Amino acid sequence: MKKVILALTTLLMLAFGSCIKDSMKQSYVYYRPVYKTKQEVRAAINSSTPKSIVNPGKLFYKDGYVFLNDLEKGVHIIDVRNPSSPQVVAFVAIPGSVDLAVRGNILYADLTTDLVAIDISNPLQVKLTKVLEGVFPHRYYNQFQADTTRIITEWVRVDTTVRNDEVVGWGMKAAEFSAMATAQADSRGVSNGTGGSMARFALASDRLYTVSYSDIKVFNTAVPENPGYVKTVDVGTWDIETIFPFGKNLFIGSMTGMYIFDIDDKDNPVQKGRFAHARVCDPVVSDGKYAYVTLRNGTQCGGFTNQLDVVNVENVSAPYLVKSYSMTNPHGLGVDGKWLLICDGADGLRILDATKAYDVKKVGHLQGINTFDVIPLGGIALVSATDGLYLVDYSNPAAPIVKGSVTFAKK
Amino acid sequence: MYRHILLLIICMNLLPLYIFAQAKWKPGALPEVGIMAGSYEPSGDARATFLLSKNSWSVGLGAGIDWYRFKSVPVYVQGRKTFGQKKNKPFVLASGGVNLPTKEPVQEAPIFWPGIRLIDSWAPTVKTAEPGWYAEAGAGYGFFNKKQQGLTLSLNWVYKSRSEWYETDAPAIANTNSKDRTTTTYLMNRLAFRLGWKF
Repeated sequence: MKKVILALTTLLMLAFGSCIKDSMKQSYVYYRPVYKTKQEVRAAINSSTPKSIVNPGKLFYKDGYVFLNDLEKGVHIIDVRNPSSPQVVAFVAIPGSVDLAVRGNILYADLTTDLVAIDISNPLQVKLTKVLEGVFPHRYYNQFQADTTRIITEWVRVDTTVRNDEVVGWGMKAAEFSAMATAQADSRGVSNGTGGSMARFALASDRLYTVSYSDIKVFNTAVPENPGYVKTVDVGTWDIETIFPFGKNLFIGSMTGMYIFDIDDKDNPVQKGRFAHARVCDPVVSDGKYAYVTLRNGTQCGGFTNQLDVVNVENVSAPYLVKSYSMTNPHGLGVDGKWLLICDGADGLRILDATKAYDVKKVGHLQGINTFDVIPLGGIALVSATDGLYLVDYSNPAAPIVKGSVTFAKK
Repeated sequence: MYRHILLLIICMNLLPLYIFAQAKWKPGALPEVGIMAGSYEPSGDARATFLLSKNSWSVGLGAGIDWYRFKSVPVYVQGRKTFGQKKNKPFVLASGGVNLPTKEPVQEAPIFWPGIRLIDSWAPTVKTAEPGWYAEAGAGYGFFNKKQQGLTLSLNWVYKSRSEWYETDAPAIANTNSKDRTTTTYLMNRLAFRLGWKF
């Protein structure tokens, strides 16, 4: 009997020894890039049939048309000459674009690593006039290495299941899966899940300034349809994300504050200080004497307050806070004379009288839309909301009303 | 969920107890403790099986705690057969059932693939664990008295599985607003050496 037990045990160990291993399978989604050659992409830059607006970004108004960037896709052209009935009339495919600027009849956008100049004198028949190749750094998407000789025009969703067997062997510990830590994307509104650099544009005088993660690039746009690269200026930090002109200065936005660059010599921006009253997450506008800054919670910059700060910037190197005003969840803002228009998130659009910086008064309030950016146009405001672009009549600031809207694709 | 299963086990034991009592199936219990070895760190389990026995056959229901790699609660049905007429005799067994997860957090090992997987860093990742399967087959030897009660030793192959999933927003650059689900399933094979006492 003892021999039987021993034989049986040995048999079981031998029989099942090869089964002693754990395994794992994982089902997940990944996105496969679809590539096109640069030649194909450039040939397709024209006013094509309108498309749904999915990820709205920056917008620009010119001569009755709104040019709205759809992040990484291109630019939608919206006819707003009749505010009651805005119409999306065309789409210009510019893969990789995340910002735009308009000077005269020329629209500048980033085509991944290239700067393109597009003649928009006829929005329904735009034409590519110039390409400056390789002026922006390559994109990287987490740890995925894209083919930099081609352009990614879209991403295809793929469901997959992968199996991996762990250790074979009796009594031996397994090595876990080789842990490829996926770098985590920034918040959607800023990096769109990409690492690396994305251009941000600002026009001042006849120069286009762009920022890309750690530097400022200067482009000469004296001849708008024929921009020329001038130089690159290192900012000295790695978390640059925004830029906007401020008189004879550029404000370069980072997580911790704004860097002030003097552009008196427009080809040689020189850092002259920091503006700690705003960070990259904090929208700022100025009327020259005062800067109006909105701060809110829930951003990647941290912070727990929801307020409007009025800052005296007559001496931009020595700004000081005049007063703070409580808000609900303020985002973008715009200034039109004494009127301050503030997108207060889910609390709609607020119109304030900023005649006295130390006594800004709430005058009008439009509720019912979740707002995040605004461009006042002297009585009609372009308001970007989470579900669409609204044209708001604020000619009577105490009673703003929606005149028309363009709906974004549903989420 | 666990309360319902325990209640189910109790009810399923009470009804056949009555039925089988009429057919002279003898009720019993078999608590066991085990040491498990597999490709992960050795661990153990503890369980109890309620058995109904007649002649050389036993059937029953059981549940326990399995600490191998991920703490879990297997719930199973089991069949046993002894061989021979002596008091001490060999047996074989087989079990099958479900493996219920506990709330223990789990580390995921992500896999690289020729595309991008993006996780919104500002969205908390909440993982949902799902029940898996439980299976067992083995053989052993019992040292019994006249009432067929006594010590049991057994060597078994034991399998359990566990799944967990979480969802994240699709990356903005993909221009879609879907939720992407990631599901990880762990399939664990072990050898278990068990010591029990049959009542």
